[in-house]
Amino acid sequence: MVQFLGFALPGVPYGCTYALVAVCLCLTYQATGVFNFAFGAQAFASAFVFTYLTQVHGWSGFPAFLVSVVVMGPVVGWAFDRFIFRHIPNSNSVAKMVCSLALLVGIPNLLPVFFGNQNLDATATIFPFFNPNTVYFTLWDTPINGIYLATISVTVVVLVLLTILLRYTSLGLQMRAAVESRRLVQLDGVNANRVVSLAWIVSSFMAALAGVLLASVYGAFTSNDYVILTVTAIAAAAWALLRSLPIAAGVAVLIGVTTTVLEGYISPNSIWNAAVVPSIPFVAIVVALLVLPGMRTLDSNRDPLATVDPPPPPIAAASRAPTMDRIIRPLWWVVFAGFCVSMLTWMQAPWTTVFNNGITISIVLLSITLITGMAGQLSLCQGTFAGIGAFTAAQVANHLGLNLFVGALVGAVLAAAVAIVFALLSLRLRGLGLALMTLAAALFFDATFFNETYLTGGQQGLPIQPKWLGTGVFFNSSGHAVFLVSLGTLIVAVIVVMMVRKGTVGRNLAAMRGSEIATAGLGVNPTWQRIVVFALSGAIAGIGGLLYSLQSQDVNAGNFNAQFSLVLVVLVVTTSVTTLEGAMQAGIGFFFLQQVLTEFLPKIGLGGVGASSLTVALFAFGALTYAAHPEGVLEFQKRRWNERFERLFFSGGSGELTGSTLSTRHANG
Amino acid sequence: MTTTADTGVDVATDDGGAVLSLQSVCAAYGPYRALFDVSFRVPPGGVLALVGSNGAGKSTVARTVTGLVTATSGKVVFAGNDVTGWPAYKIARLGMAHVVEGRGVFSSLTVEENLTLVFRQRQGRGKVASNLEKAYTAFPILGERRKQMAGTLSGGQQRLLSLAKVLVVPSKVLVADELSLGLAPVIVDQVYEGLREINRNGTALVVVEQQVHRVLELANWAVVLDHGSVSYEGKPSGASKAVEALMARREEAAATGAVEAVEATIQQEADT
Amino acid sequence: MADAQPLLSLLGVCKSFGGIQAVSSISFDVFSGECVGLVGPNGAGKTTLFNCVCGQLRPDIGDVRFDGTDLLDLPTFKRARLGIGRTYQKVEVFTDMSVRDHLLVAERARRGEGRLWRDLLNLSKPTTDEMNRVHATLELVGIARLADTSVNALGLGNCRLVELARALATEPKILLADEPSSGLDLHETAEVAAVLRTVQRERGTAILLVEHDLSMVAEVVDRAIVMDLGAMLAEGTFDEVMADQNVRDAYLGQMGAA
Repeated sequence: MVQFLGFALPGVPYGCTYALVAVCLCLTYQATGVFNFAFGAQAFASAFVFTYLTQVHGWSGFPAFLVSVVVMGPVVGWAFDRFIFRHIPNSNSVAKMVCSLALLVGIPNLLPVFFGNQNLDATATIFPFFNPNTVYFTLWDTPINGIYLATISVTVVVLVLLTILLRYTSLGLQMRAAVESRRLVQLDGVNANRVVSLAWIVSSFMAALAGVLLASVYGAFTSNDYVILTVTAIAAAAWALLRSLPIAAGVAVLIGVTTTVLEGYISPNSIWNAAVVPSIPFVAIVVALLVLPGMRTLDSNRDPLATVDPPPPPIAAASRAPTMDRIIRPLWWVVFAGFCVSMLTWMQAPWTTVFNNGITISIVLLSITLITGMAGQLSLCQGTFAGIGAFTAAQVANHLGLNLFVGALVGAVLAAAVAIVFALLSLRLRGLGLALMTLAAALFFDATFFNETYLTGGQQGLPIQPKWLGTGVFFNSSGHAVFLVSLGTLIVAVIVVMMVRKGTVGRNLAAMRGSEIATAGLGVNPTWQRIVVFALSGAIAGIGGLLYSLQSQDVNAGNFNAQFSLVLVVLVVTTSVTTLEGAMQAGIGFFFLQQVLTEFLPKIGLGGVGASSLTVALFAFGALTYAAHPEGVLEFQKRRWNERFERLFFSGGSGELTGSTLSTRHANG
Repeated sequence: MTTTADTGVDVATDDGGAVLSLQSVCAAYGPYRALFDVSFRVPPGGVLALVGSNGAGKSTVARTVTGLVTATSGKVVFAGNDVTGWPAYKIARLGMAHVVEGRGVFSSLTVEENLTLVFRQRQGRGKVASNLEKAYTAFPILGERRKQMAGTLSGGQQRLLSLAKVLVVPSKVLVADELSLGLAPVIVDQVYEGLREINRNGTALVVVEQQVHRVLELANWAVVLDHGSVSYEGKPSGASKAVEALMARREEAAATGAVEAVEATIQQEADT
Repeated sequence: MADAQPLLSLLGVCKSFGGIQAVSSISFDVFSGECVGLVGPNGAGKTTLFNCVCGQLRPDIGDVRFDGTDLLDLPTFKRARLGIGRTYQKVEVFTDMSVRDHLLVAERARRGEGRLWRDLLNLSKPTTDEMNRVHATLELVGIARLADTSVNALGLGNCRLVELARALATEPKILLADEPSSGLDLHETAEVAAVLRTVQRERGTAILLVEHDLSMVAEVVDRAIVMDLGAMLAEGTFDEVMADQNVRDAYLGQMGAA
C-alpha cells in the first residue's frame, strides 16, 4: 500500500496541471462554444514570453508575470474573439475547429519569428506562497514540497472560482446562453458580443496563468510538452463531456496518478514502459469517445436564428464565365508544359527539390480534399497514413528486397487498412468527435509504432533506395526520376479523386454532407460510404508519403507526426479544400514560399528568422480566414480577380445575385 | 386608427404618435434582397397584423424591427429613437420584445434559468423571484418543469416558455413571429389569450402570422406583404380580401406555368 | 383496404426520452394503397413515431412490422430499401446539390451502394433509363422546370416538393410525409396536397401523413388517427374523429366548439 501510494503521489502535481488545463478547456467550450485546440499553444506562448523576459532581459518575476499573464493573456483573448471567432456563425463547427487548429499550428511557429530560436529553460519560479525546493512535510515516505502544494492549491482555487462563475453568476448564465445563440440572447437585452468577448478574455487569461505555472513545474519546456499537456487535458475534458468541471479535474488527476503508478510498477526496461505509458491519454480519449454517447452529439445544439446569416457564396469555378475559361485553360497547359521541360532540363536543386516536395505533398493533400472537402469531416491523422505508407514501403524494400512499386502498393494497402480501423472506431462520430478521435490516433501512432526502432529506425529513420524496377537501375536516383514518378502519381491521384467526385460515391458523400439522416433514409449505407472514403484517402496519403520521403532518400518518423498532420490541414484549408487545384496550390505553394523566404530573408537582414516557421505561420494566418471564406482564401481571391477581369474586358460579367425565391427560404426556413 | 392605449407602460412616441414606425425600409441577406420600401406605423397599444404568403418577408420585417437584421436603407424609429443600425440588445433595452419563429428558448438551460436570464436583464436582480412566481402562476406547467432543460420540453411548452419571458415584464412593443405554427388549436387559444393579456397591459403588438383569420380578429390594423413589399395596408377587414387576391394571382400564374416570369417582373418593379 | 395483410403495422410502440413519455403504446395498421392521416399538435409524438418506423430511433417497447418483415433490428438504409420513403418536418435537402442530383442519389440508392470501382472506371454515369425515370418523377411532382437549379436557390415550398420527389424516386411502397405543409402558405399547401393525391392514385403508394393543418388532412386522407401527448385519442374516418368528444376537448378547443 505504501509502495502504491509512493508511486501515486508524485502523479498528483502532474495530474493537477492537467486538471488546470482540462477545466479551462471545458470553460472555454461552455462559454464560447469553441473547443480551443490552441489552448496549450496559448499557454506555451505566455510561458515563453515570461521566461524570455526573465532570462534574456533579466526582468524580475513580478513585472514579467504582469506582462506575460495579466496583460498578454486578456489581450490575446480579446483579439481572438474580435478578429477571428466573432465572425464564425454559431452553427459552423468545422470553421471553429479549423480556426483553433490554425492557432495551434501558428502560435508556436510565430514565436521564433519574433524572438528568434531561444534555448530557454524555465527555472525561474513565480510561486508566490510556496518554495518549490522546500520540503514541507512527508506523506507515505514521499516528500511534499512546494510544487505539490502550489499545483494543488492553484487547481482547487481555479476549479472553485470557475464553477461559481459558470453556475452561479449572471455572467455565467449569459455566457452559456450566448453560446447557444448570440442572437436570441440579444433579444433578451444582453450584449452578446461583450459577454463572449469576456469569456475569451477569462479563458485566455487562464491559459496564460496555467502556462507560466506549468513552466515552473516542468522545469524545462518545449512546445511538445504543451501538446502532451493539451492532449491529456482533452482526454479529461472529454470524460466530463466538456461540461462538468469537477469531473474534468478528477479524471485529469486520475490520469496523472495512473501514469506514475504504471511507470512505477512496469520495469523501465520492458517494452511496455515505452509503449503503454505515453499512450494513456490517447486511450483515455478513444474510450471516452467510444463509450460516452454524449460525445456523439456535441455540436448538435443549433442556433434557432441561424437563418439570419446570409447563405454561403458559390464556388469560383462555378461562377467563371465560359469566355474566361477558353482563355485561361490553354494558358495553364502552356505553363504546365514549360514547367515540365524546365524541371527535366535546366532547373537545379534546390528548386527541383522544392517542386518535387510540393508535388508529393500535393498527393497527401488530395487525401484531405477527399475527406474534408467531399465528406465534410475533419481528419487530423492524414500525416500518419502518409507515414504508414512510407515506412511500410521502406521496410518491404529493405528487408524483402522488393522494388518500391511493390512497396508502395503494400504501403497503400496497409495505410488503407489502418484508415478502415479508424473509420470503424469513429463510425458514430462527427465533427469535433471525429477530429478528436483522429488526433488521438495520430498521437497514439507517434508515441507507439512510429517510436519503435525496429519499425521506423527511431531517430535515424530508415533509408530508402530508389531502385525502381527489380534490382536493376531503370531510373537513376536524380531528381528527374522522382519528378516523373511523382508527377505521374499526382495525375493519377487527381483523376481518381475527380472520378470519385463525379461518380455515385461522390454524390452520396455530397448528399451526406447536406443531410446524413436523409441520405440513409433513401437507402444509402452511410457507414459503408464513410469506410470507402477513409480507405481511399488512407491509400492516397500512404503513396504520397512514400514519394515525399523518396526525395530525401530516408523516412523519418519526425516527418510524419501529428504536428505534420495539423500543418497539412492548415495548408489545404488556406488555398481551397473543395477544389482539386487547391491541394496542388497548397503543396507547391508551401515549399515555394519557404524557399523564397530562405533566400530572401538573409538579404534583408532577417537571417535569424526561420523561413520554415514563418511559412507555416503565414499559412496558419491564411487558414484563419476560413470562417469568412470557407471556400479557401486563395479561391476567394481568384473569384474576386475573375470578376474584376470580366467586368474590365467583357462588360457582361456574372452580375449581381438577385432572386426573390432564394431569399424566401432563407427568411423563413 | 383606433388607439387602445392604456397607461400601463410609459411610452415615448415620435411626432406622429406612433411607438414604432418603419420608413421605406429595405433589407437583404448577403447579396439577396428581401425587403423593398416597407413602411408602416404602430400606435402605442395598437395591434398590427403582418400577413402574407410564405417568403413574402414577414419574418424579415420582424427581424429588422428588433435589430437582428440591419436595414440597408430607410429608417426604423422606436420609442422616439432612430434605432436603424442599432444592435439588437440596445433596442431590447429600450423596451422591445421579440418572440421568434420556432424554438425561441435556450435548450441547454433549465426553464428557470431561461426566465431568470431575461428577468434579471429587464427588471434587475431584486424582482426575479416575484417575476418567476408570476410566470409560474400564468403557466403552471412551467412551474412543474422549472428544473427541466428547456430543450426537453414539447413544442407547445417551449412556445409557452417564450411567451412567459415577455408576458410578465411589460414591454413597449412585442413582435410575435408565427406564434401558432404547429400548435394544437387548444394551445393556440391559450397563446392568443396570452397575447390579448399582454396587449391589455398596454404593450403594442406586431403579430406575424400565416393563419390569417385568427390574427385579423385580434388586430386593429393590417399590413399584407408580397415579395418583400407592402401590397395592402389598412383595416383588417380588407386584408383577407387582399390576401385572397394575391393567392388568385399566383394560382393563375402557376396554371400558365409562368411563376418565374411573374416573380421576375415583381423583382424588376421592386428594383426600379 | 384491399389486402388482409397490413403493409405497415405498429404494435404497442413506446418511446421515452429521459423520463418523458414521448410515445406511449401506439398501435395501428396501414394497408397498401391507402392514405392515413396522423393528426396532432407539435410534440404529440408524431415525428418520434416516424423515427421509430424509419430507424432513427428504437422503440423502448413494441414492434414495428413492414410487409411481413420485422423492422426493429434493421438499420435505416435497409428499411428504406424495403420500400419506406420519407420526408422531413424540418427540410433535409442536400446543400449545394441540384434538384436532379437529389433524385439521382435516390435512384441509385434504391439499388444498393455506390461501387467505388465503377466510379473509378467511369461506369457510373447516369443511364438514359435512369434519367427518364428521374424526369418522370419530377414531372409527377411538377418541378421538372427546376431540375438543374441548386436547392440553395429554392424557397421552402419548392424544397418540400424536392423532398417529396426524392422520396418518390426510391419508388416506395409507403410514403411517410412529415408535416409537408408546415411553413407553407395556402397556395403551396394546396400544391402539396394535390401531389399526394396524384401519387396515391397513379402509383398506388400508401401514404402516412403527419399534419396539423386539418383542412389539408380532410382533403387528402382516407382515414385519420388523432394523437396528443404521445397517446392515441381517436381513430376512424376524418369526420368521425373530428366528432369525437375527446378530440374536441383535448385538441380542437374553440374550433371544436364552433
